[in-house]
Parts: sequence; C-alpha cells; structure tokens
Amino acid sequence: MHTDLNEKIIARRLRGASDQPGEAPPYDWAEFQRRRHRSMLTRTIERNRPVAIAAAVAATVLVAVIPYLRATHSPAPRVVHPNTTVDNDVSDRQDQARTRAIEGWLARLPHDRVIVRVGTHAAVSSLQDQIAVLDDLMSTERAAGAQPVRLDALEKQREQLVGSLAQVQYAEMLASANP
Amino acid sequence: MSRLADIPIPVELISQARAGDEAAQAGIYRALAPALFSLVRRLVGNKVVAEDLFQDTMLAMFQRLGDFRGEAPLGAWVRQIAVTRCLMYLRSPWHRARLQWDADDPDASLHSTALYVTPAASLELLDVERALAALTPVGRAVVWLFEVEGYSHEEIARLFGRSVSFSKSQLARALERLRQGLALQEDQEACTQI
Repeated sequence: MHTDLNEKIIARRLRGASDQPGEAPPYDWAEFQRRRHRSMLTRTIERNRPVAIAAAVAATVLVAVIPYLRATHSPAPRVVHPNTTVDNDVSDRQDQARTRAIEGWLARLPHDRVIVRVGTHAAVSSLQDQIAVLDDLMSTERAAGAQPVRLDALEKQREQLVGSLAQVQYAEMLASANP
Repeated sequence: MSRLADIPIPVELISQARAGDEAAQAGIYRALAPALFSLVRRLVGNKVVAEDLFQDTMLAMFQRLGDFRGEAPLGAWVRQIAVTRCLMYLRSPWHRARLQWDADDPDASLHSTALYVTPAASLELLDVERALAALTPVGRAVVWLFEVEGYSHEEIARLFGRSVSFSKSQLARALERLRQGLALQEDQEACTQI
C-alpha cells in the first residue's frame, strides 16, 4: 500500500511527535546547580589564569636569579669576635628554629598537587636536590670532624636554600588558591 | 509534552528568579527542562552533544535572565537561545568531523540520532521518529524549525547564516526524504501484515 503523503500530513505527524512525552532531561535541579557552581568556578579560574602564570613565572625567575646573585655577590667572610659569641649563638638558634618551622610547614604541604606548573616544579626539584646534597655534605663533614666554622657556613647555606624553597612553594600555593 | 514556547511561566516567578531566589529558579528549571532537552535533542540528534547544549542553554538562561524583557513568553526566549546554540554546533567544524566519523560507522549514527519513544507510542509515531532519524542533521533541524516551531524561511536562513533559498531547498529535500521514508515504512508494514 502506498500512501501519497503531502506536506500537510507530514507536518501534522511531526507536530504529533512533538506532543509526545520526550526523553527526560539528563539531570535534575540539584545536579544542575552543582554543575552551575562548577562552571562558575572554572570561569573564575580561566579569568585569573594570566595572574597565576605571571606569579609562577615571577617565582621561577626569582629562584633562578637568587643562586646567580649569590654566586656573583658572595658576602665577605664573617669575622668572629670572641665577645660576640653569645649573640651569635642566640642568632644561630633563632635561625635554626626558623628553618625547622619552615621545614615543618613544607612537610605539611600536599604532595599531590591538583595543578603542577612545569617551571615551578623544576625550581622546587632543583632546590630540593641542592638541600639533599648539602645534607649529605654536612653528614660527611661532621663524620670527618670538620671545623665548626665550616659546619656553620654549610648550615647557613642550607637555611638560605630552605628559605628559597619555602618562597617558591608559598608563591605556588598562592597562585593555586587565587588562580 | 508542551512545546517550549507554549509553556506558561508566571511573571512573579521570573521576577523572583531574577532576584536570585533559588526556589523560583528551580521552578523555572523544572518547567522548561523537559521541553528544552527534547528540542535540543531533536535538533542535534546526538545525545551527549544534546546534554552539553542543554546545560549551556540553561546556564545562559540564568545568567542572562536580567536581560529578559518579557515581550515574548520565557519559553520562546529560551528556545531562541537553544536554537542559536544548536545551529552554531551544526555549523561547527567539530560537527562536520563527527559526521565523518559516523559515516564510517552507520550504526553509530543511527543509534545516536534515534530518540527515545515510550512503549505506548503509536506505530505512526515510531515511523515519524525513524524517518526523522534518517535525515541529515541540517535537514532535520530545518524541517523541525519550519514545520513544528513555526520559524519562517527568513529566520532559518538568518540563524544558519545562509540565504533564504538554502532554507527552502533544505526543507524541500527533507520533506521529500520524509515522504519517501514514511511511504516505504508503510509498504513494509503492509507486507509484514500479509
């Protein structure tokens, strides 16, 4: 049987199809709200991405420049006067306590970051490597009975590296929190 | 199901939603979501793409609710947002690439385009759905916008960024294919009954 279907009949059938209960929407209001908030968050992140990139680049440049400046502008060797020993001991203890506090803060940072920035990651790895090398060197020097002045110098160097590491990690944390 | 443009939304509900009242926004969502999803699904075919475009349209509606002046029903305004987005998708290189992939796997295309029909649906409705699924996406969109949603050729041409003759020729071709498809199916059913 062949029916001659003209346009009016097709149009009527199409409108009939539109009146049928269709497929249910993919999700309810609660799920839509969740997606809406996530979308707003994503948009905020996208909007602030240039600031985050600038912060990461600044941190990376800072970390690259610090060792260079340190190498080219080495401070004059510290002259130790006998009557300043007590002051220096107090200062050293304060520095060590500060370094321990920084290390504690660094240890509490999450190891698996949601966003990993290549430049910052390279800088962090480099600093961590340098600290590890210094730790080994200090252990070796202590075992060999090195001079306290030598150990003190290494300790200072380590404190500076830990400080730099904390600065980079802090900059990265700020960039992640306010991307 | 009511068509999107025909769904009545009280003005007070719109005002409350515009003021940020979540209950009012939820009310509008629940009233419009089924018809909106059906329309989007009808225009783009693919279910996954339809879900994305549905979400985009809903997000745009709530973001731009302050711009709604109430000169037309809210459903008609939302329909315009949805249709614009769907046709943008149909004109996109991404959609053309998808068509190419689907051409390699005809089954994939048919399954993704076929709409859900209730078990109680009549044979006539099943025939229409099958015939619609066999159309090209652009042809299906043009025939649906013209015959069901009441768009003029000028409006369709403007939405597609093409000429009025493009709309007319697409409609003529789509109607011809529908006519052939529906007649063919009736012939097959007649043979089965014998």
